[in-house]
Amino acid sequence: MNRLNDLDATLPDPADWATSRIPDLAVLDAALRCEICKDFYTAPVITNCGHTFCSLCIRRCLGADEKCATCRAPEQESRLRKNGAVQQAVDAFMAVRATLLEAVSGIEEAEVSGQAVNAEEAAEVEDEIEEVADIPPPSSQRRRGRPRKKKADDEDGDEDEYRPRSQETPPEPPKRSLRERPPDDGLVACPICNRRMKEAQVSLHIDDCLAGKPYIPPREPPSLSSPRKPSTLPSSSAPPSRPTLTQSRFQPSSTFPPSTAPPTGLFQPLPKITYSLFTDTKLRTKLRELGIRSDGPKKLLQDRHTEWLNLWNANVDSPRPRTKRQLLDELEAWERAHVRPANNKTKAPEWSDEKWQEKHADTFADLIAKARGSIQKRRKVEADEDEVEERISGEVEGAQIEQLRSSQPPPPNPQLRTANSAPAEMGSFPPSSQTTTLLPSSQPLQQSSQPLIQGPSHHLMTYQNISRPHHETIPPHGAASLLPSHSSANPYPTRNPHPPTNPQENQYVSSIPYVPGPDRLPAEKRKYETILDEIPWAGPGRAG
Amino acid sequence: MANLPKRIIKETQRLTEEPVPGINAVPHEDNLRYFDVSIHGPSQSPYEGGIFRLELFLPEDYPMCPPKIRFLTKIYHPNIDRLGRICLDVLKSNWSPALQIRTILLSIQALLGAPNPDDPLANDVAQKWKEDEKTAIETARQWTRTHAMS
Repeated sequence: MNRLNDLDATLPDPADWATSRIPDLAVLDAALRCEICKDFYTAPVITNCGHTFCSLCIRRCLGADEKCATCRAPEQESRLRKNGAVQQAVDAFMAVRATLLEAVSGIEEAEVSGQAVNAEEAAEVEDEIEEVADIPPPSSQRRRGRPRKKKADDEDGDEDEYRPRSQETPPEPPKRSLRERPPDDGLVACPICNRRMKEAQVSLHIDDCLAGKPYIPPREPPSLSSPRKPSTLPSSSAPPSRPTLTQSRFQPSSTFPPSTAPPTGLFQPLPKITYSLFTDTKLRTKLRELGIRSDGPKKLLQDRHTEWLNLWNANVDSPRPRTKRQLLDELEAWERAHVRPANNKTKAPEWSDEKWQEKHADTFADLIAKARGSIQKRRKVEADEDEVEERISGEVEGAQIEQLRSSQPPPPNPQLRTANSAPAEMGSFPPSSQTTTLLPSSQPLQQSSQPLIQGPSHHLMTYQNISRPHHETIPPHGAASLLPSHSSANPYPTRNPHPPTNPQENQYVSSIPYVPGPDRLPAEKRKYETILDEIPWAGPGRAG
Repeated sequence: MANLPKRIIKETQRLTEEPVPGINAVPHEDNLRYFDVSIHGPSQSPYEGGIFRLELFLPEDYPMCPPKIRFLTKIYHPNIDRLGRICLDVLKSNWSPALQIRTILLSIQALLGAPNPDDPLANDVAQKWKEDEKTAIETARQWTRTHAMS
């Protein structure tokens, strides 16, 4: 709980208002929060069923289940629309929240009385902003001087009219009160001098306006849809001073600096793709094209791509888009948070192979010593038997062996070494298939380095099959190094580390009776084989 | 646990600060996604007076997927099986990220108050419940006394 409490201190919550002089502000606070993340809306979007969520939240949510999180009505990502009004309400509220909270905390009575009014006013202002956005403007004012037949279209939200206002200049619609609603002439007002002009000209004009230059309307042929030219704008449409006033009040220039608004087209929404139509390679290429990591199995590639789409498209909805670099960082964070723990569900968060190794060093040493003892015992028995056998078999056979040996140029020892060192060079094999099957497939196997016994034991595994207490058959090299139990653990499953061996060699090795002595593997190596044979593997991978 | 989502922290905070009457949920010190829950049997139900222990786990994808929750105390209920698993739509198909621990626990408490033998998980219990409700309720009361009141 301690850790939790530490974290809590930094999290604002609607309950903060419960102890204030205006506890009802908690309702407002809660109303500006996303149902999914319980935090203030970030790039809010509205669903077809009229519920608002953070863009990223609802996108992730729809990825899991294509339903609205509030009412479970069917919903699709492509139908989400930005909710600029809510964004502004949140921005405005967040800007005053701390001050407001301090003001209504109710300690200094004298001061509070004055500030509380402001607080209430601010709260009302919030409501007003939302209200204004919801109420359609009186059409009598809007449609002045426009062809009458167009009106019907407009009521349904004419695309030409609607889009530019809501997308290109999101701060505009709610920042005026009802009385001051601008004429719907397809033009936008300069935020500084309030002159109306085409949107494309605004950003250019703002620089001039700030520099104090007068606005020169461009000469263009009069169009039918907008008979009035900007220069002939009637002065009665809106007193220039009022909107500027309200704007400066609700839109701190630091929040929405018009000049820093990103050029549209820089961030275009990315389309979804059907993963079943993509092969691994194609998907990898796709990811590379997008500039994100392209490693890992297909499932991870898919998840990563989906998350990237969510991040990217949510960023498109944001009034203050972040850079691609920031998004990449976020994707990286997602990867850390979602992919790693999911793969290591059985491991405690502070698990460390080294610590485990250290902690149980004695037990391991014990086991090793025991195993060593048993192999020595066994070898002794073998040696005795061999001796007897050899004596019985007589000189003839011995001579045959001698002959065979001299007729085959490569001595067995180096051969054994070369054949078996191949897998050893390929890196460490996890000690048993048991350990590896516990590792989810999405994690690169190279990471599951053998945790308990390090050093020579890694590759000594490969001698396992040769070490059987056999007399008559040392399996052919090819067979000996196939390592059936490790095939699943092989990090390079498609690559055959052992090219087919020379049939002559096979014949040579398999046909020769077991000869103890220098031709066998060095004792140092042999002991591990048995150790590994005898220790049922109990690595940390299995731990609960 | 450094990457515990804000939402989980918030929910835990709310649960501890403003507990729902009759419901108690405390996260484990070493795993803040794992909660020990106890629910008081609702009044005027055969479970009245009993305190039922449950375990609740918030999976990695929470809140995109529902919390995993299970009764630890034995209970005689048509929608809860021998292993303590619960048949509740909001824990499965009707889960929504807008729901939270608090609402889920309330739903479970409500389920105790209103067993639904028509959509059973424990078939034998449901059968009894339908055939002879009186006896079934008596059994539930008996079980509550035996298992949930110690």
